[in-house]
Amino acid sequence: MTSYIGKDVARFEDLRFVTGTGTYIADIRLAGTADVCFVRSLWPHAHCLTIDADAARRADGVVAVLTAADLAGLVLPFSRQFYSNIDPILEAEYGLWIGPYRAPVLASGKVRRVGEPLAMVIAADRYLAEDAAELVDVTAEPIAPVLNPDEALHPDAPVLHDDLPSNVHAEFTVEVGDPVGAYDQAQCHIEQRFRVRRSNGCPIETRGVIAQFDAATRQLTVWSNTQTPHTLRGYLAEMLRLREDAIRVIKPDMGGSFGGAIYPEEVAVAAAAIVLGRPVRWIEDRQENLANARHSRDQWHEIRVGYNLDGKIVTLIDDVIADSGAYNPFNVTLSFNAASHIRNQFDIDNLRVHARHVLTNKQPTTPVRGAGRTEATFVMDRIVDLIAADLEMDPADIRMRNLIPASEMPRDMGMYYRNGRRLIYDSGDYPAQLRSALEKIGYASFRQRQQEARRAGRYLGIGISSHVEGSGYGPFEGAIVRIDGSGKVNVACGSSPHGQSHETVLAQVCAEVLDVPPDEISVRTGDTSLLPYGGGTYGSRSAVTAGNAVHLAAVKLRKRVVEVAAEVLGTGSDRLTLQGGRIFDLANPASCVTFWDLARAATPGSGMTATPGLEASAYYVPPTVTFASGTHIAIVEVDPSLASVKVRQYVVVDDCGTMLNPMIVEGQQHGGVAHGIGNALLEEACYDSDGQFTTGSFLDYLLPAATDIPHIDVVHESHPSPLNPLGVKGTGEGGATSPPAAVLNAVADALRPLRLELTEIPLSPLRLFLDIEAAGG
Amino acid sequence: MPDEMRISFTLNGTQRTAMIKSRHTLADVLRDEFGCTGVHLGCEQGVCGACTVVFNGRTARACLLLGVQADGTSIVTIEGMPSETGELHLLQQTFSSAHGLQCGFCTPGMIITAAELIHEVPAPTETQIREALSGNLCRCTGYANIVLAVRRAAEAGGPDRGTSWPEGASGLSDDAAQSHGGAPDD
Amino acid sequence: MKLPPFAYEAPETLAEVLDLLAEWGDEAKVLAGGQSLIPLLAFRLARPGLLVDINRVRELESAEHTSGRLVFGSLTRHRAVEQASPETIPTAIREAVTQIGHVAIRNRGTVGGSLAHADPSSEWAATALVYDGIILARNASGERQIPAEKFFVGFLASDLRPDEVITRLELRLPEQPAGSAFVEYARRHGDFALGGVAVVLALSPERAVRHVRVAVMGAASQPTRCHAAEAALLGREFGDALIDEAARVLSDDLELTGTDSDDRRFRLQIARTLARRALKSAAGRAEQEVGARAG
Repeated sequence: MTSYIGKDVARFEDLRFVTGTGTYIADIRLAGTADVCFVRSLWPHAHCLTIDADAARRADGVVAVLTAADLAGLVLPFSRQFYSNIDPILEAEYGLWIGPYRAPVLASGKVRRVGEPLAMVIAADRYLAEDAAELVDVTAEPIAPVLNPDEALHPDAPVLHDDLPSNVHAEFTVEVGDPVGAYDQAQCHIEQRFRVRRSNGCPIETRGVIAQFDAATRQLTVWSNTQTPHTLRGYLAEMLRLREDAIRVIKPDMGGSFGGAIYPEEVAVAAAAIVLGRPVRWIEDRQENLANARHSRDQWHEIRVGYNLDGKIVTLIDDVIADSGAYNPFNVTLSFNAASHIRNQFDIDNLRVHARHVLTNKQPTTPVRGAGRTEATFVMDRIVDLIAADLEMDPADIRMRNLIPASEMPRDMGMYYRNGRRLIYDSGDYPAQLRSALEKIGYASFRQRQQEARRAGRYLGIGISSHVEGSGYGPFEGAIVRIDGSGKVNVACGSSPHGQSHETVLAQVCAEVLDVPPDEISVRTGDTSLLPYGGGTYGSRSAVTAGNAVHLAAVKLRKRVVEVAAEVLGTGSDRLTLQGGRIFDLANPASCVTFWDLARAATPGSGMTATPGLEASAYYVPPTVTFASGTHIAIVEVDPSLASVKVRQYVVVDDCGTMLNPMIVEGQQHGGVAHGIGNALLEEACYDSDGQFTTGSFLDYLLPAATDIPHIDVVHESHPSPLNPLGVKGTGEGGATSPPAAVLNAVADALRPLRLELTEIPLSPLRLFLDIEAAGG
Repeated sequence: MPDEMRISFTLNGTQRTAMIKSRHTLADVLRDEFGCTGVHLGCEQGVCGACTVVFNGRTARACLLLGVQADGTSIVTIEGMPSETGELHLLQQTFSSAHGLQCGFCTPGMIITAAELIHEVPAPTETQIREALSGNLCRCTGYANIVLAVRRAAEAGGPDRGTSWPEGASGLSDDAAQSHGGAPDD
Repeated sequence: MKLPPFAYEAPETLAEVLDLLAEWGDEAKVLAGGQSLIPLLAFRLARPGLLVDINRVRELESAEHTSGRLVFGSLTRHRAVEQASPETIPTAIREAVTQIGHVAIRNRGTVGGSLAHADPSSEWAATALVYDGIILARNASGERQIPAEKFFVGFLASDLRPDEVITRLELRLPEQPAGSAFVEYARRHGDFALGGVAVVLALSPERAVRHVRVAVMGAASQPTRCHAAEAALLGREFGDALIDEAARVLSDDLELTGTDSDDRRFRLQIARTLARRALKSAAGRAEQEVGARAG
């Protein structure tokens, strides 16, 4: 049997992408399509909304202008949160409380953020729709906005939602061991406040939706660049009150995503298609995208850490405030991720995390690559560095002192994960990972390099960060594998890839089981008509969930293939072997059939098998998350007079378990690191004191470019997961988890005599300038 | 004054003509009128580079040109990347072999920009590659493998070896060789 | 972000351009490279009634050098200057032009467009200021010669009248062998600069400053010539102490821009840091020039 797993198979997706013949949402053409431009709120907080669309309706090329009133009988508001089946044990153990969730598709009466959709102008093309949108006259009475959690938590603050007693939407307190007692007993203490500022997921493609409703058959087809087609279908069925089977959601080629949700615009466009009886299309522009999609991070962490003079950390107490924006459909995902991952790879038995999600008049924050772990890792690893500075020890030594040794794995971390299971670091060797990283970057010889550079007037610094990542989140993923009439293997999967190479990687998984080359296996994803249940692609879950679903389905199919071959060849299954698309009797190789033969035999009515069909499906339900991990080391150069930071070298040591395709794994690490460096130094989504969004252009929201990212070395140290048949762990987000800590630790190191605290990201030049100035540098 | 005008120009080596709105960008015209959906819109403000095309032999951001400015010019999009043998341009091959793309959205613009670089600088250093590509944003790859892809193509390529640049580079002087709505170049 | 409606003309002669501008006045906008104007239209921050596309006006392309003068037609593309033979273009200009955006932007962007847009971080503006630039502007009534120092009047504001179009930029090269430098600092390669400094410097064999021009962009709401720094330098012996002195008095000429006082202080530090580096660099090149001429 050939092995296909672990090979750098070149991607089947590439041909269409390098020739520009992919089909992204904006490339789909349906005759008679009308284009949407949303009219959006200019107020952060207002009520008594009135909309006068008469002039707009009369404008050139306008088909319709729809408001909430026009959709009233047709569309229900959002009322179901994501990850809404919270395990009751979290309520019992951690006092978890989540408030109700209600969000409009098109706002009426009240608006709660700048950018909230108020009306849809639908016209012959987007140019004309934008012209007409300017003619829609909207009036409202402003209410004082709450623009940060301090304001939102003030007793006199206006409350955003009538069905909530305050602007706190969700809250919990995780406690492990005796955090306060351990704090009192610790020999040393640090109290520090950290701030992770708001950023955007910001893929290079903007959002887009096309909907078409066939009134004769009452079938709704929706194309959307969504990470979760089946979930979208569920929301559409609920909110438009349609049967599930009346809706088909198709996800075309997708230009990245980095964090998904179900958006009001998706539901609005579908509703419009029903109302108008013609295809309706919305292609978002970048200005809209920056204000209205994938805001994330935006947390405060108030930390108290207790440690001893030998560098051992004994307790961590964290008060977290997550600025969640005007609606909080992901409830505690981001803060619970932070609480679950903040102890990093360290052996800390005492923990208390109290978290609150606070509503403000801004875009909702939702999970984006790193999803709470980036924030927590930044906090923990800056703390480690501050401890090292306080004790005048090397940060690498502090880390080694605190890492959970391999002999103690698997390690129960004393708390429950968001899915209600015990949080257990199942596999990995953290000390070896750190040693590997130190060696790869040349840590031992760096100090001399640093001194030589200092003498030449240059400031180099080195910083370390590690992380763990609970990956492969459930509840499930589905796959159907079959052999079609051509004798070819088809894989259908509920995943929704947007750069993760599923057409190649899932073919490799299937190829491994059926011993057929991957390029003979077709993989289709992102279409609700392919299989009845699908999970989607997010949260570093696909290698685990989709990979194992395909694997399990392929294993079932292999069994079935051998069964049918046994019938056809008239021999026992146990005498047959499967090799290279052929099934034959080892003792009598001339007696063999091909997949093509079996396809004929399995066709109903062939008379050759007892039951027809050559297909198997599997829905893989992971037992719980499996823990990937990584250690990053960055070398930066700081120019203190300009307060500029350049990342010069970067090393990643990663453990994502079994690697299905190492080349793909490295690509994911590279991309994550670049995103993380963006978070560290460049990216910030801002509102001004009037609640107006001020980074709505690519000259204000700064994505890292090729000149901002150094060469990235990736070293693999794989410890297979014991939790799934393939032994895989997720690798989509690890890259983006450690860079802010690694980079800021390196900056602190470069300017070590100044003892900079560096408790905020992004570290913009202005902030670094002020920090240096304050430190007397 | 009419808001529509007739344009006549060479697109990917073929003479094309259309009546288009004068305010439509070249990017929209190439996509909607001529089906060149490989020209991607990432920002419509000239920053991300996803819409990069070859305009009279030089890279240009199609979202910062008007469709009417195409009249009398020669434009090449990713759909027309040349190869003497009819195969993929060497960069298209190395982008794949080096895994220099993931979602593919930035890729057409990235390839065209890289092609201009190695046409002008046959043996670029890593710094030169990164600077040349600094106006093409990618959110997926972290650029490492893109740089590798460009380097591989530069090392392996050359005249007659799959890295040619579109003919008809008439320098930086605009379309001035053609008069308004005039006859095509031969 | 689709462009708003406008009428569009693409004349082929300067006379036609001027007639259109005379007719439409401030309802018209000139389209040259489009790298600054089209984004403004995309954000609907500008809504001209007429776009006058001057890309076919060949008379605006020419660039020539006569003795002591560098003349650029307003339609000269940045890339053409970047790729011109090095001996024809002073170092500061070459260094400045390579930092304008990215190659695709430089392929289309023009000298005239950059000047007319009057961005506080315009590299061409800084260049014009250190070479005693004269901007030639024409309308239907005639021609004006506008000294660069009078041209930039405020944030994105120039002295250009609505019915005028820039035809040429004339730069005066120093009479004696000089060195020049341009340095800038941006968040990312090719971004609008947080600060930039252009310096032209000539030194006597004893290192006395014989000629000096210093301009700063990005620190104030318009690109600024720094007379106080020049006065501090002229006639004095060049060295580290003099550099520091010049950097110190930079603040005399700069009406700093920025979101708040912290930001303004930062801009000033950037300007001073870059000024030191540009002065050192220019001096080194000035000495090479003197050495080259002498040897």
